This record gives sequence, structure tokens and C-alpha cells, in this order.
Amino acid sequence: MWGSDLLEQNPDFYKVFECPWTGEKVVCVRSLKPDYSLIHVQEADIYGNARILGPAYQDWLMSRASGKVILTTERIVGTYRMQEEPKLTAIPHLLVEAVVELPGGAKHGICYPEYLTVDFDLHKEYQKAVKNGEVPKFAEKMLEGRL
Amino acid sequence: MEYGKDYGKEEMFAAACIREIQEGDNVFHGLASSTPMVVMKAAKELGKDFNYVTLSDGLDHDWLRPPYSASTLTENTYIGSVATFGLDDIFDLFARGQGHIAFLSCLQIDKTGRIAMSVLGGPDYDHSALRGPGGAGTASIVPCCPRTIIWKCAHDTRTMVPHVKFATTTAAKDKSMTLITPLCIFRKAPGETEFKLDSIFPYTTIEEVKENTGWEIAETEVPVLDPPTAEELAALKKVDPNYILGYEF
Amino acid sequence: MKEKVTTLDKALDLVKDGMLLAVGGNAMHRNPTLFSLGLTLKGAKNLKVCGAAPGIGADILCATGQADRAYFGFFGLENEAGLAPGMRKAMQGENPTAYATEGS
Repeated sequence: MWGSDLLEQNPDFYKVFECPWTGEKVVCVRSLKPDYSLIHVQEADIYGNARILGPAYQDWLMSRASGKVILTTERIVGTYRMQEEPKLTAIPHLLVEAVVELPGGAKHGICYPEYLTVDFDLHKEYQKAVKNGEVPKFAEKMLEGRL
Repeated sequence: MEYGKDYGKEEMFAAACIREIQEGDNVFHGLASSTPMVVMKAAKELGKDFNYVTLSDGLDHDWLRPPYSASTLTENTYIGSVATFGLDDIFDLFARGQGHIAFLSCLQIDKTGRIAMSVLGGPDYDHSALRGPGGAGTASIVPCCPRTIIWKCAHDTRTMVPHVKFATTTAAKDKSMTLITPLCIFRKAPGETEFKLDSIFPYTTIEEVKENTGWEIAETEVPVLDPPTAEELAALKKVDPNYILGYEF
Repeated sequence: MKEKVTTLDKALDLVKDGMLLAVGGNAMHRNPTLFSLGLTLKGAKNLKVCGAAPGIGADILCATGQADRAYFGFFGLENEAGLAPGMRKAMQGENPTAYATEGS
């Protein structure tokens, strides 16, 4: 972080300390403790054991940082899927508070390998909705029949 | 090779980037980095033995699968990987001193390697005229990356300014930083604090570079880079049939 | 193990005023987009959002003014999908409704 104006901009978030062993100056970053992680996955069982197919990004870390996860999932699968190869469970049930079966839950965006491109017609609608302050109206359309 | 006939500025830019990659390097590009993605795939196709790490979690993916989008978060840089090695691993790799090249970009940059990715304009940080996307880790990676490469597909005085007001990150004094534009290459060597004009591309002149740069260029004579070779052009074409390379230009 | 399956409506009600929410995925990829859109139909306010690279899921909550702070390394939708319109609307100019804390 040396050389970044972000240090001075966020004195409550970054602090410089001396390493207690070497005396070297180190930048420490305040940790965040999210109340919930909201994570969309391809597969979860009814207990909240979740598999992420393809790129996982930092969702593994987020789930641990919060310790409380709300999952939406493309589909509910049998627990045997996790038992086949436990390593592939990205998020274990003990960190999960709720599982919602929500196919298409990442639309109008992308969810590998289910849908691979952004729906740009919907994206234009979203951009317009942001501009006009009509995001809830856009939400009603996207969630029709799901609430 | 003739400019405008055999190659354009996109291919010259890509060739200049490819030539920065050396055997054995651990090379990283981030998200929204379609240009370095094509560059690194082409370098693989040219037989350079380096390690390709990126945010899709994939390590050394199957580079012959054509990218279909300028997004660099798709499964395109994941499928065919030999291992997963995600962003948290990548940050640790660079922090340990094992990273070699990071391809990063900017909204604005100045002669001392101050890089704006956060905000532009306005009275202060919280009231900006343009809220940028943020550094995406550049502030963490630049201080521990021996050869940061800033790739910027525009060369004008709005981008290359006399002074960056709010620096998301700054070139580290003890490391090298290279700035590649569609016209030329600037370098800041380890120990130095300012960019020097290093070389220009075959289709431009020092005068044109000076006109389009917001800081003073002292160099009066610099080498002209060789145009892309037939092999470089063939590799670019092979790995990128959908011409994602053109997206950022 | 306890069964956790619930309805979208009930899961949305778990989110209360002032909470810090980590939003999964990246840019336009595997975001909990419909969940975030669901939150815009509920009342939760003074939310904070965080992520290494929050995207559309967090942008939605900035757009409606429900999120007043975002902690992030990169906040955008990437390339063809452009900059994050809700985040920019909330954070730019004289009267921001949300603030940024950038973590690198």
C-alpha cells in the first residue's frame, strides 16, 4: 500500500505499525465482519452445503469472514454430491442460515455454466432504471412470480 | 511489415507487451483486462514458458479456446487449467516476491508513476466528478511487483497528465515500471523516480509522442521498436479469432 | 445438519437496517442479482456492502440509496457492461448518498 493516497484518505481503515519482531513499518488493514454474505451458487443441498462450479472468486473468503451466509442456488442437489468429493464443497452448511432455490438468480448477469453472457437488453433497461430512479420497478419485472 | 497493411496499432501494442514476458515469469492480469489476456494467450502460443495467473482462479488455462467477450472473468481463462490459484493466492505470491509481471491499467498517470484509478475531478475524494472503479489491488501489488506494466490503449493529454491529484497507487522507487501506449514505451528503472521515453513505435515520431503527452519529455533520440513479426501476428490471430484485442482501442 | 431451505421472501427479511453485506461473485458474474433486486422491494436501509470486486448485486443497492457505504477493491461491471451506474450515481458529485472505502 506504500505510495497510495488511500492510506491518508482512510485513517480509520489503514494504520501503520511497527512489526514487533523486525521493527519494519507495515500497513495494517482493518478487518470487516459482514453480518451476512449473499452468495449465488450452482448447487446446494437442503442443509446449505454449497458447490461453486467454475471461477469462485473470493466467495470462499467472504463466507468465512461473515460466518453467516444466505445462499441462492440454481438447484438443490442431494447431499451425496458433497460426499463424493468433500473438498469441492466451497461453503459448508454450518456457515449457512438460509438456502433459496432460485434458478436464474444471477440474471441478467452470468452464471457459468448455466448462462454465459450478459443479457444486454435487460442491462440497458437496468441502466435506464438507475438513471430514472426506477430500480424497484425493474425488480418487480425480474422477480415476477418469484416472491 | 507495413503499418496499416500488415498490422495496426493494436498488433504493435500487443507485440510490445508480448516482448516484455520472459521465460519463467509469473505473470498476472486482472479483470477488465482484455488486451493483456490476448497478449498472454499469444505469448503462450509463441512457446514462451511462463506461468499465467488470473482472477478466474485458473492457472495456465487452455489458451487456444477463443475468448468470446472482453470480460476477463469468464470460464475462458479457467477451462483447461492445471490448478486453481485464485486472487488471494496471487496477492500472496506477489507479497512473497514470487510475482514478476502484473499487467495493470489506469484512468490517468503522470511522469512519477502516480496512477489514478479511484476518482477524477471534484473538490475532494467524496465529491468526485468521476467515481472510477478503484485500483482492483494495484495498491497492494505495485509495491511488491518487480516489473509492473501499465497498459493503456489511449495516448493523450487527458490520460497522461502533469500531475495525478489522487493516486490510488504510485510506482515503487525500488522497482521498475513500464508504461505501454499505442505510440511508445516509457520506463522507470529501479532507483529512479520518473518515466523516461524508452522507445517509439514504427508509425510515430518523438514529436507526435510529445504532443500527446501531458508531461515534459527530455529525450531527443530513442530507438524505434521493430514492427510485429509474422510469428507474433500469426499467434495473435490464432488465439483471438473474435478479435477481442480490438475492444480497448 | 439442519434443513435451511426457505422462500425468497423469508430470506430477504433476514436483512435488517444497518447491516454489512458481503456480496458474492464478481462484476456481472455469479452475483446474487435477483436477491439484491428483492431487497429493493423491502425496506432495509443504511446498508453497507463489501467485496473484493462487487458488481451488479451491490450496484443495485447503491442505486436505490439503500446502501450508504461500499468497501471494495474494484467496483464495476467490466468492459461491455461498463462502469457501475448505481454506484456512480450514489457516489459522484455534490450530494453523495453513498461513500467509498477502497481496500487497495
